[in-house]
Amino acid sequence: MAKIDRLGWAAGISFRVCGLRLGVRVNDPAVLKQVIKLLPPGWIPSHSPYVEMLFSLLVGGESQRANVRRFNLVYFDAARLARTTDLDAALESLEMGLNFYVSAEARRRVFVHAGVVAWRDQAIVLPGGATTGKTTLVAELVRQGATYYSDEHAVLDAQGRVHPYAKPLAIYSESTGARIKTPVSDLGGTAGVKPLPVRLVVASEYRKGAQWRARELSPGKGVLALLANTVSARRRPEAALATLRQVVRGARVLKSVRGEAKETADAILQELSLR
Amino acid sequence: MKQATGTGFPRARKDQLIVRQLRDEVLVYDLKNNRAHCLNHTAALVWKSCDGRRTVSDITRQLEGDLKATVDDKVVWLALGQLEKFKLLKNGIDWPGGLPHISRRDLIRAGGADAVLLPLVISISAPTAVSAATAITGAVCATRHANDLPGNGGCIGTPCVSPVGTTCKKVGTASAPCGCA
Repeated sequence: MAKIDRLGWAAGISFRVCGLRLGVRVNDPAVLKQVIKLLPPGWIPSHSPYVEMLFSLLVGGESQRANVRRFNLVYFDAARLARTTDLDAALESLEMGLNFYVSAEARRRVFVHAGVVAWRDQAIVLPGGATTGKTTLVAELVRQGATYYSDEHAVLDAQGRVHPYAKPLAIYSESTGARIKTPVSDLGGTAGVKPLPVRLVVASEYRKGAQWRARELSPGKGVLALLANTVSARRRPEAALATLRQVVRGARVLKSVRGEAKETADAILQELSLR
Repeated sequence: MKQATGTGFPRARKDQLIVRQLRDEVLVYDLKNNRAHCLNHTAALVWKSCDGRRTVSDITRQLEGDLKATVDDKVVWLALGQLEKFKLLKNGIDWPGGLPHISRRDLIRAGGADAVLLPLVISISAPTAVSAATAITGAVCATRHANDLPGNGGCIGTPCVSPVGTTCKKVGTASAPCGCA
């Protein structure tokens, strides 16, 4: 038995998501409700105690001695993922760990780092690396009437369809440096529930003052644009290529720098309505 | 001017490659260096003709037949240069003495070829799972502490939300070793 297993775990949950069996255990049953809110979208409870990856959250709690700090600890299997006195930061770290594991290891699904919305039952995928303004653009498209699918990952199946991965949007606040979790209903939108074919892929990056000047990429270059943001690109390149090939067979791929989100959202919806 | 480095019979590399046709283009994933390439129609035709038995002149004739157009030898040399650069040839090529560096621009200027028919290989480095992961805030980065996990001294190297372009890495203080920098 590993040392971590002797730490006095009081409650836990096992669940399935994207073909994976995962578990989270905690030492304080009261915190389990908060943990459940952080589980990856689409999870369903599992009755089996056997899991392939176990996350653990050890809540430090209050110390009776004023000069003693008790850390909250997050473990990924037996490896420590986080150590902090701030429980919210520990929970956020656990959430990031769960999401990362699912996006890298999902079976029969390929995760592309991208925002996704739907417009008249056609999916628009916005691939882009960290801090390229995906969430801002997704939020603007939702305000203009698009259905929300994800601000983080395009979850693609072998047919090249995109599945909803609709967590609250993580809107970055420059003033606080934190991400504010914003339910899609706060933007006046709704979240999609069914898989959809991808009709448009828009590889764009925010640059202050830039003008929207889209050019269409060939299908092969489109695959590269998606692969450059695919979490499992190195681990399972064959599956990634097969899936992305399916995506671009039915989709146009555009590339452009972009300025403000509103103008870009208008341009994107215009592109889709032209077809 | 390029140096003679191999044989006059270019041979396409086949080992440790995943190759997928996509309409006119060919996608190649190189398992050796985790790079993905997209070969346009002309580059793909040249690559497929590199069987180790054909000379450049043979490949040029083959290409003329495939494209149903007149093709200058330089077009094939341009393709071979790109294929060699991205390690898609098994052996090196014997560059003819006196052959200058050939670029797409030079060929278009000289009227030697239609731009659409010129070979082109686009290449990217496939991202690691961590580099394609969702960006984290400074607060989450600061929770990473010890050398329990690989990457940047336990800080994993995940992209950070702010400052833009930074990653969570070891910054050196004992009490808070991980920071966005």
